[in-house]
Amino acid sequence: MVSELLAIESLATIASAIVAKKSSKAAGIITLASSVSILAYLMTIGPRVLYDVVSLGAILPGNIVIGLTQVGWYFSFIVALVMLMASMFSLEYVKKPNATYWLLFNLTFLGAIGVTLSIDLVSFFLFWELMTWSSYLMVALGDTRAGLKYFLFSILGSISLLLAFALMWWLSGSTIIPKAFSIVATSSTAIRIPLIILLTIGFGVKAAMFPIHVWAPDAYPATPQPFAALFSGGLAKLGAYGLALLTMFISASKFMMFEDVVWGYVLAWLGAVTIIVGAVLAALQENVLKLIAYSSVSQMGYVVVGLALMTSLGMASALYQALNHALFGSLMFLIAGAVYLATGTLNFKDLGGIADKMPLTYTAALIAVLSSAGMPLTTGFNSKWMLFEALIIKNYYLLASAVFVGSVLGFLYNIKFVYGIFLGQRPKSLENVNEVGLLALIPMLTLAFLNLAFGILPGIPLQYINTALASLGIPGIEASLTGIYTNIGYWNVLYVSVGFVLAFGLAMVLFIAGGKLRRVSVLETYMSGFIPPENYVLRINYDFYQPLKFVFGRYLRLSVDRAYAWTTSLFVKVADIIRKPIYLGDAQAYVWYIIATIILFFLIFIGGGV
Amino acid sequence: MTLDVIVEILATVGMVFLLLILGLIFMGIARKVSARIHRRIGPPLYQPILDVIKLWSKIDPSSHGLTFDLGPLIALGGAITAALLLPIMGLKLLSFSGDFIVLMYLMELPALGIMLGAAASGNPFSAVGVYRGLILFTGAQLPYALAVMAVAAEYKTLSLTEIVALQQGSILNWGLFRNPFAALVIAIIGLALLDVQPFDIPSAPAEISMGPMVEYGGKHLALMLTAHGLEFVVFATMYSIVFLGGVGDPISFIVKTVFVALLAIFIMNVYPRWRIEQAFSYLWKYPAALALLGLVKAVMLGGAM
Repeated sequence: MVSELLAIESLATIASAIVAKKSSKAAGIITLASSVSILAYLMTIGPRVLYDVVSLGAILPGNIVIGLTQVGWYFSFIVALVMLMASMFSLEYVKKPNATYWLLFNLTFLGAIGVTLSIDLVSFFLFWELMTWSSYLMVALGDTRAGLKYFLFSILGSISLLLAFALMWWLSGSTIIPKAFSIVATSSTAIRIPLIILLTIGFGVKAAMFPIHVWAPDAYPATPQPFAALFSGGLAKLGAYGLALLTMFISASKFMMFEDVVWGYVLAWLGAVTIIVGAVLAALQENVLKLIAYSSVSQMGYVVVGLALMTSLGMASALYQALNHALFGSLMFLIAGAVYLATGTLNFKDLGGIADKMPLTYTAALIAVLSSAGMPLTTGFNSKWMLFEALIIKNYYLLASAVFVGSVLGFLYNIKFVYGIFLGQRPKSLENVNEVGLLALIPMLTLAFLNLAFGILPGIPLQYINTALASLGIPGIEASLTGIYTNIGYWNVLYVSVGFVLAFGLAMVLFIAGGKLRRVSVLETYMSGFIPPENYVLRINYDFYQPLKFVFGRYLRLSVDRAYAWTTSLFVKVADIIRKPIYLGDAQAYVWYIIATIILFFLIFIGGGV
Repeated sequence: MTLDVIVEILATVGMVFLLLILGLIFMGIARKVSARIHRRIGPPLYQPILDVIKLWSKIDPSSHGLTFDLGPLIALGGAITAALLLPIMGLKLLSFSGDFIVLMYLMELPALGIMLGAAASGNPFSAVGVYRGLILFTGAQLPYALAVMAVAAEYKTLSLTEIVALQQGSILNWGLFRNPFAALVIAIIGLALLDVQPFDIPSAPAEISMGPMVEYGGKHLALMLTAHGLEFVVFATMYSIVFLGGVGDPISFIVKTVFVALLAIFIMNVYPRWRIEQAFSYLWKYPAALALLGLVKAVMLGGAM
């Protein structure tokens, strides 16, 4: 039954690619229909174990198993939800017939949903590669260099995964994911350490974990924004899915060993560094897409930290954060897409003040930003709160402090995002900007609504998260529909939100009862007696966090990118040193090499004969 | 049962109004004490109340749009919600709904609301104030987080009511004596969070004419002043709850919060303002080191004395 879903999506891929040459709209509607049907199917069936054994017959020997698990269901729901929103937005974004876009978009989705619906390692890896290749092509179409970078890191990830999967198959004699991953948790130290490292690299590349995150800030901006929404909102989650499988199976087994604890601690610190590095660099970007790309890197760090704790609260917070980032991360990319549609630019220096022109996009942006900054009553807060409690319960105080610093750095880029695009003075060039079309607004507002809804009702996602944890025998966390409870604290959203609404209402009453407002323009501001002329720039549109460069100056000179470049140049230099005495560039020398080789072979031949 | 709930809700509403007025009186105290330090006479304690009423009743206040109006509303709403989480004088309506971390975030909400509204005004001074404020937040967050972790390690709970319960008995059970490092650090951080000299870098009246507040006047400013006063009270109460044995009765509430406020007022009048990068490097050095010391103490010696 589940394999039919993939068949539907395959057919939709082919059909949309064929009709896209004639009409982009028809291709979009086919894509939309298939993603709606997949999401509807997932929602009606709910999280459960359900699988088909598919025989590949002539292509490959043996069978592959396609199906649902509770954990897989959770992630396939995230991917399908993001895909639905992104494909609806694409209808507005891709107006011209564009077969490449729709083909790669659908293929990437097919790969991504296939990964979550795979119960054996073979199909998991095949779909993983399909997703990687099609997303690589999309990146390379936008920016060849970024594509190459993404491709290199993906190859590193794929090779690590392939080695790890082969090892797991060899050890367990099975390619079924539960069996293969359980073997990781029960194997001996000598095998366990390389296996865990390989899997961490393989999944960490997709999840854009420090220090293998460097492809992400280049790759996300190179793709069209609705695709980038799927890329960061859906595909990056699959790295988290893999890491979640690994950590969940390790913590579910009773064989928690010393190296697991060390690995968990190192992984958690890598996650915390990801949060901080991503957030600082996001705050210093001058391009909207770069900012969102770095913020995606930063937000995925919370998932890594949560998973690395390997407690049920930590893992629950990670799964929740995966959903949250899908909700506000992809929303931010869609907003960037809407801004690009309306203004044709995504540089902060050309933007500003379009909140009046695009009020609905602005509302969605405000909610996305509040959620991404983790303000209470939005969904972003719930997962961060759970993570802090989990860190404190686990006594990881320094790590918790680092995550706190990272979360406050999140305020910086979020405020910059909303100020740089929507607030302040409007440049003359943006006077004729209009709100984007309905098909772009619906996904943005739906995502914004979900950010608020899951913020006030954390019980809905937590119910599925508890099911996913329980399917591996991990105890769930204590949560009601509107509240989360831990050993050391509590967070009842309903009462606090009622309190906030009443308090806000009181402020509102005081505000409305005051004098009648007079609307003034941005030029009528206090300027110490200076009267600004008509075209005077009244906004900081470049280098917004300049003092931050000042305080972090010394550390900003460090760069993982440059470290890789340096390593590469080192290899080139060493190879050059080895090459020089051998490849002299002299034809005579090469003739002597050939003769020497022939003599060598001749001697071996004689020696072998005797 | 329903009667109890109604009485409690009425008491809470009364408490909110009391706190709002107390916040303004705190600002009056600040002005009076500063004046005495400057060897002036100073305005009466109720002067800020008159100011707020005057500002609120000004006709024709100018606005830069909906987001601009939203700023003071978020500020006041957030400050009141934060106040509702505090267990003051036996009132516990919302204090079982959020713990210390929720309170930390809610205490940052007013500042963020003001920054959002200020960013919408289009005045470059506001934008400068906004980024200064956010960078100062980042600077304050490291020692703040470390000190909060020390508190969490000390009490092994984040529930404010349980923290109060753990400090009962002797005065030596107070957080101030159990973990003096964390107490000192949070007192310093409070100055940064409340935008008080030497950390009043975001508003800096002499440089950027009150930064985020520059465009606000009339009823906007009235709400913002009220919210700022309330933030002051919320911080003083939070500090009394976590380090000074809680505020169970009216006398201890007044005495402890005024004590905390006076400390801030004295510091504010003695130390001149830092530049942003000076404040940042200071915060990441000495308070962070002290907080780390507090954390080590809490982890090594546990909850013991």
